[in-house]
Amino acid sequence: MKRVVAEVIGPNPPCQRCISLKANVEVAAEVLKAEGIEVEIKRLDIMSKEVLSKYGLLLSPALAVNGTVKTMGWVPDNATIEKILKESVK
Amino acid sequence: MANNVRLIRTALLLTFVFAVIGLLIYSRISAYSLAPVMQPADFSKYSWYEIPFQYLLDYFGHGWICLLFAFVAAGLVYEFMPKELITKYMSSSKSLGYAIGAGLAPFFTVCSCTMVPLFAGILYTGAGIGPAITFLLMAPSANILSILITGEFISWEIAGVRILVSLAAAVTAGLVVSKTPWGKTLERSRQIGQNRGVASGAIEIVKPPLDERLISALKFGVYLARQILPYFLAGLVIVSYVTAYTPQELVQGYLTGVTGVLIASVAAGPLYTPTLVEVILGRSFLSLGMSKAALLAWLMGQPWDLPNMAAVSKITGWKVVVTYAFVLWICAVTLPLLYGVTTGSI
Repeated sequence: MKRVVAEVIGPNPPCQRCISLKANVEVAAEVLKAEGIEVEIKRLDIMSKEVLSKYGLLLSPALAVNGTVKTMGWVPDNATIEKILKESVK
Repeated sequence: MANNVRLIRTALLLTFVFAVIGLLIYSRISAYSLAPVMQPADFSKYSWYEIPFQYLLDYFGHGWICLLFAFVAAGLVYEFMPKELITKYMSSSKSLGYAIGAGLAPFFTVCSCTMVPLFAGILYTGAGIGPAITFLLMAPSANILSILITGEFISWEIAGVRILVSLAAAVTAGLVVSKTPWGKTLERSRQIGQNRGVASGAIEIVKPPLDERLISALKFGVYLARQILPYFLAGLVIVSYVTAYTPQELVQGYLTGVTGVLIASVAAGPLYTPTLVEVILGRSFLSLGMSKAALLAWLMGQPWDLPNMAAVSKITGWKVVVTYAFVLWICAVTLPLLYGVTTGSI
């Protein structure tokens, strides 16, 4: 089983758009599970030292896959997230 | 097949966007007023329960094109603005930080869920407290939405001046806070590590196809509209009564001259909302005889944005918040007075 780590980065408490991003990632993860890719979803605080020293300044909501920020400042739909996750597995 | 669907969707969305822009241009050419046309004197024709309906009808009959355009534009600008540019350069140097903070913040519209984390990010990643404050203060006072609405509903002169004074106030507040001992302490304690070059190699933005970006832009416009319009509608109802029942003598007596500026700069306080209500209430007072200087002071009521201040003080401590609020208030008195004296409308 292939694995990929998806980090949903936003403020704490989460804003509306961060919640929708996480929901979309969860849907995409379900789809990929059927294809044999396991997605581990994490929620990170955009203002934490950990995130800031790793990624620097970001716009919320941001999505990082396997340690690389792929989108920020908007909510991609399920299909786009699926594509991003799949490309990161290869 | 999927490509065709994508193409059609892109075409439809672009048509919509151009239709909205076209509507605005058409209304310009045909000299159709986008601002409401009711004057305070007209209100006496209606009984008390008719007032809000007539006022809403007047606002939406004329204002819907402008509101639609404003929300679509805000969504598009936010979506297509190169965000990497900001996050990359904002954390690099101080003078550039001020320039970008002041120059690009207006395009971030009113969403405070983006503002406060960005503020913290700028503060932590290197540009320091000054540019961070400038950025924080510039965005709500002179964002694309409020400027468009101010320009169409009040006047483009006031909208232009509003940008300038917000810029002056935001940069001054940033500079002042960065010179205070508590500002400096905060900056030192918050900075991450010695090297400012944060690992920016870990960012590879995926560019989505155009149709999805357009949808995302429109979605953001709808999101903004859903956040703002309920307050805007409630505000309109209240403003309709204020306009109908406030005696002109009261406004002309208290909201003109130096007293007017002072009162407006403080009175805007509890009423300051990033919901555009300040624009319609300001417009209504203007029609009742408020001076332009006082109107400007009114629109600069931002030092009193309490929810934002509470969120910021959690990061910076109250001293920084009190400092910038005080600087903003000084600016909200002096700059409108200056404007009033130079234009002769005080």
